[in-house]
Amino acid sequence: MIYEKGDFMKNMNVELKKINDFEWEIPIGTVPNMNVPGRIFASEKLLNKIKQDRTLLQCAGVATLPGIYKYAITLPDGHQGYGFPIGGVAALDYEKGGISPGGVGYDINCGVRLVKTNISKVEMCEKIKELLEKLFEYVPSGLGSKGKTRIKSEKEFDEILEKGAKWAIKKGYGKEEDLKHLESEGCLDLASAEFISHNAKKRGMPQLGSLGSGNHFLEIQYVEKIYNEKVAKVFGLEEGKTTLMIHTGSRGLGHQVCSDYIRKIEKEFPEVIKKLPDRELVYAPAGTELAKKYLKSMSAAANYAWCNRQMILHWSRQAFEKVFQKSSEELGMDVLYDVAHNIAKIETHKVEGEMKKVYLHRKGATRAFGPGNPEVPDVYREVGQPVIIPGSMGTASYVLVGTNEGMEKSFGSTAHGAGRTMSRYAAKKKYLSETVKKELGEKNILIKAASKSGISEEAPGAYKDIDEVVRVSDETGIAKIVAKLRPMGVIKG
Amino acid sequence: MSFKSVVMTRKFKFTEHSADVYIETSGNNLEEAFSSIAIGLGFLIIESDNVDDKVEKKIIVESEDMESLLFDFLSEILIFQDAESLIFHNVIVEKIEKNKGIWSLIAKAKGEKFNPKKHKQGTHVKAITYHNMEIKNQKGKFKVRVLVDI
Repeated sequence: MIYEKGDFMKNMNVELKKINDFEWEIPIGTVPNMNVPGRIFASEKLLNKIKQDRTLLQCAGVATLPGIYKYAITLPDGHQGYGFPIGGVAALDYEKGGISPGGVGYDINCGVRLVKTNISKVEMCEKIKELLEKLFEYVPSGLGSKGKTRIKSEKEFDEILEKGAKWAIKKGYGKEEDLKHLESEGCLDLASAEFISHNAKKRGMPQLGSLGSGNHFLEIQYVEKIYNEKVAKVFGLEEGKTTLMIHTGSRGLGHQVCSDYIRKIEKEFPEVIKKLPDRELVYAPAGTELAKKYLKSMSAAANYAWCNRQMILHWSRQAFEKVFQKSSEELGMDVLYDVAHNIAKIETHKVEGEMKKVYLHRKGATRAFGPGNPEVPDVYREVGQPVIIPGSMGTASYVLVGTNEGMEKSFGSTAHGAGRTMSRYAAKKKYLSETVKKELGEKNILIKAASKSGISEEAPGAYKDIDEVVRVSDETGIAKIVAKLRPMGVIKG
Repeated sequence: MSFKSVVMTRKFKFTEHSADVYIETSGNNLEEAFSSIAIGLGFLIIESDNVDDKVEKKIIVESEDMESLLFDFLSEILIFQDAESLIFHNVIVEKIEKNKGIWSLIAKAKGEKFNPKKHKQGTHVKAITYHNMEIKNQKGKFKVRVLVDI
């Protein structure tokens, strides 16, 4: 029994139908068994990058999933993943569709949190070096980084999985108001630790409260430009003021939950895999026990990630307090918002005039709900949900706002970052960490990293142009630009 | 096949994918090929050649086919990576067999705890994937390819 898979993947040519300058369709029939077309949100420039790998074919593969509505979406930062492309959205019917661990990804609720401060760029310049040292000292980062907090028992760990950021607040990691500014208030109620394996817990327990490595980072930025005064005012963003961005996820726990459920599903539903173009697209059919268990476990991993970012925020505040000799309240360190980039949720969306309950998969995508949506915190509801799109190391990041147009076009979703154009491995070979460090230094960006390879892998040249990615989001109206943030200092895991 | 022969000849190689990396190898039998892939994984995580054999772990897995056997076997190594900070640069798969439709594997993994002062940090590996996974017998040589999520 010798396998050779991947015939489906060999044909890289995909004919696209142009809808308008920023939207393209992959017609039904591009690969066998597509239920809906694919839809790409991209400019010609980004599309040329997207065409260089198998993103489009993978998008077509997602369109073969059962109960999928409207179209399989690839966002402007889309790039090749495994099974699902990264930078994608898929809405599968709650009763006739299914839920796919691959449609969420291995780093469940990898996401970003943006924290405001009233510290000016000038004040920050004086202290940034010291601040980076302190942040590096207070927030565990790097390969196999472990949290500073020892979780006493599996019972306590289960509480973290079920309560998320709420647990962290209860334990003194931050303040009650923080919760109001997190997607889902940092806790998905349907989470359960019951169906999470011992192995997953073993991987996650020692890592709680750590940044990890890879593309995860802490960044000090300043608000370089405001594009939308009205919304920026509601968000509390001001030109020349500095911000802190936290980017990390659910660490080994989330990775293991994903692996465990891919295995469970394929064991229980071997007939599902046979029909799929890629084994990584495997899904638990809607209505099955396994679909429920995965949803509960994935939600628990998402809670872990929110708790993780909350703890990191707490230690970051302590680092700021130490360096600036003021309390974090005096420094105005309030959370602007916290968004998940890899998640599946039960949501209701309008499809051909009818409201449909779906498993909404966002893999490398940001929720971007429009004005008036009850999921948007009170303070922002009138203008829409804040959307945070981090750039690559050394390039700008953006704050956008969700729109009702996005609710129609992209199930209330937009891009999640710059999107890679080069593999981590290729980047490591191409960019010397010292050169990258020097180039960042020339742009007045300081960097502190746990490893040299971490710097090379995340070299700005390995990513697509973030400015172009957010421009497409703005032009298509799926999320509108509010402010541009420029990095001053980075802690790399 | 000894550990040295795998390490000295670096029987595995890394190839690129947009976000991730493939580990590829070929071996005279499945055991040898799986050993090389596991060692490749170890060298992806820690690049320096100084991971000593201080701890030994036995890995036993059972799976429904060859692909899932490789997935489960390598996943075990990642569990040690995160749960105990253990890195293995010396992995020997002793036996792979198929019995009544079930594939089983027994391996010995030797290594030590990650020490940032001693070891050169490579890439943290999040997960093993099935994407474009290949296990094939080509003219008596076993070629294996796996994509890992980093």
